[in-house]
Order: sequence, then structure tokens, then C-alpha cells
Amino acid sequence: MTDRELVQGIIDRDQAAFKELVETHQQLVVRTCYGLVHDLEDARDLAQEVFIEIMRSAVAFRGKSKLSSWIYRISVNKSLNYLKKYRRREAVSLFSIKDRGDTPSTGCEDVMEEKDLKQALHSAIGKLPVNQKIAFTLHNYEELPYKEIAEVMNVSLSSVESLIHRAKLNLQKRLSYYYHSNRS
Amino acid sequence: MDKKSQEKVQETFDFIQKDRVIPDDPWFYSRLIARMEKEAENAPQWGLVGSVILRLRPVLAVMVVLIGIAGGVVLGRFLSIPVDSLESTTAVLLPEEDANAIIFREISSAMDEQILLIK
Repeated sequence: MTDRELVQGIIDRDQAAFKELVETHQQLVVRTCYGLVHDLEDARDLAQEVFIEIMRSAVAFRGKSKLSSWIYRISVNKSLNYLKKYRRREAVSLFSIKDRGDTPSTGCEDVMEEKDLKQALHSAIGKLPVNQKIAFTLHNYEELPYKEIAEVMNVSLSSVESLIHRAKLNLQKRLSYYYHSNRS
Repeated sequence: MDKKSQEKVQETFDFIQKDRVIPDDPWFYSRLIARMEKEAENAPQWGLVGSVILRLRPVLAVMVVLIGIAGGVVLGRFLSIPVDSLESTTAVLLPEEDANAIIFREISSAMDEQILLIK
């Protein structure tokens, strides 16, 4: 089914079309939400809300942009609303991670290290300004080209380039400061 | 930035490739349908008229405001006192001489009454 047929099917309340849309876009939606909220269960709940929203507002889709861009936009908006509502979850400081320094060695150093990397990464991304966060997540978690990110965010191509560049610099600065102070 | 920290930062950036792999959830669609059914059950039953009213809520709100303003203007026009009637209700001022004559007449009649009473 083409994008247009899928959307028309959803407008006509065709369950097969809806099932196909969910199956083909499930990973995309969950990954986008996860890249922004950093909790898999919350990302799955949000993904459900995204598909319900798609079902409700399919009539509003005019086909001017790609279907996936429209879905990305809904996913980003839902995730940002969620973060606004539960902002305290984002308040985990990079420096609260190193408090676990006295954890006894269990022979699972790799797992522990991975967990540390994950927390450091999520915390640093969480502290980025909103637009940088969206651009960085879509580029690195979804591997979207700059052009499509510009379409999703409704900004120019040069703005996307600048946002991603600044996001990388910010992350580098925060992470290096964290790792440096953690070692000393 | 020292070399060790730089390596760690690079390692963190490389970790995104691992972090972006989301395990498939085979029950996602079933859970989504169950949630939609539950939401449909709990949703208030508005009926056709209700759903039309729900959709037209912004239009209705604007109409109420406009009716309110128009009502205010109409009421203002009807209730305002015309200038002519204002003139008719104000006290008619007498020339100073006439006024003094009236006061004198009232005082003298009052004195006459008192004299009669004394007699």
C-alpha cells in the first residue's frame, strides 16, 4: 500500500490499513520517542498515543509532506509534551551517576560500563536545548538526513546543520567535563 | 581535555549505535487495540448532535461573545436618557426676584398662622 492508500484506509476505518501502518512504523515511532524520553516503557506508551493520534487526525494529513515526516512530527510533539509534564525525570544530573562508585564488583563490569555510558549519554542529551535535542535525536537515533529533519522541524537546512553541530559540541563539553572530573 | 576523557567521550558517542536498537514488541499492536477499545468504552456518548456541537465549540464561543457585545450596544441605546428628557426633568430656575417673593410669602403665611394660634 502507498502512503496515500494507507491514510485513506485509516480515514475509512480499515483495520488492515491501520495494522499495516502500525507494523511498518512501530520501530520508527518507538525509537524517536525513546531518543527523547530515554525510557523504553514510556516510549512504548507514547508510541501508542502517537498511533491513536494518527487515527484521530488522519483527515488532517494533506499529503504535502511525506507520511513518515508527519509521523515523526507527531512523535516529537508527544514526547516533548511528556517531558514538559514529567520534567523531573530529566533532572538526573550527570554527577549523580558517579555516586555509584562504591558498588561492589560483581564480575559484570561490561554491563556496568554500558549502563554508565547509557546514563551519561541520556543525561547529557536531556540537558540539551529542545531544538538541538530534536535535531540530534532524529539524526543519530533515526539516522534521518538533514533534509528530512528540516521538513519534520519546519526549519531551514542550514538551521538543522547548525543545531546538530552545536548539539555535538555541547555534548562533547558536558561529557568530557563529566569524565574528567569523575577520574580526578 | 586529556586523552582518556576524549576516548571516553568518543565511546559514549559510539554507544548511540547500540542504544538505538529497540527490541521488537510482538504484543504492541494487540495492546494498542486493547487501549483504543478501552478508551472508546470510557469516552462519553455524545451522539450526532453532541459531536457536531463539540466540533463547533470555537464557533459557538465566538458567537456568544458577539451576541453579548451586540446585546450590550442595543441595551445601551435603549437605556440611555435622551438629552431632551434631561432638560424636562431638571428643576426650572426662577428669576431671583420671584424666588425672594415666594420665600417672603411662605414666611409671612407661617407667621400669620402663629398669630392666629396665639389669639
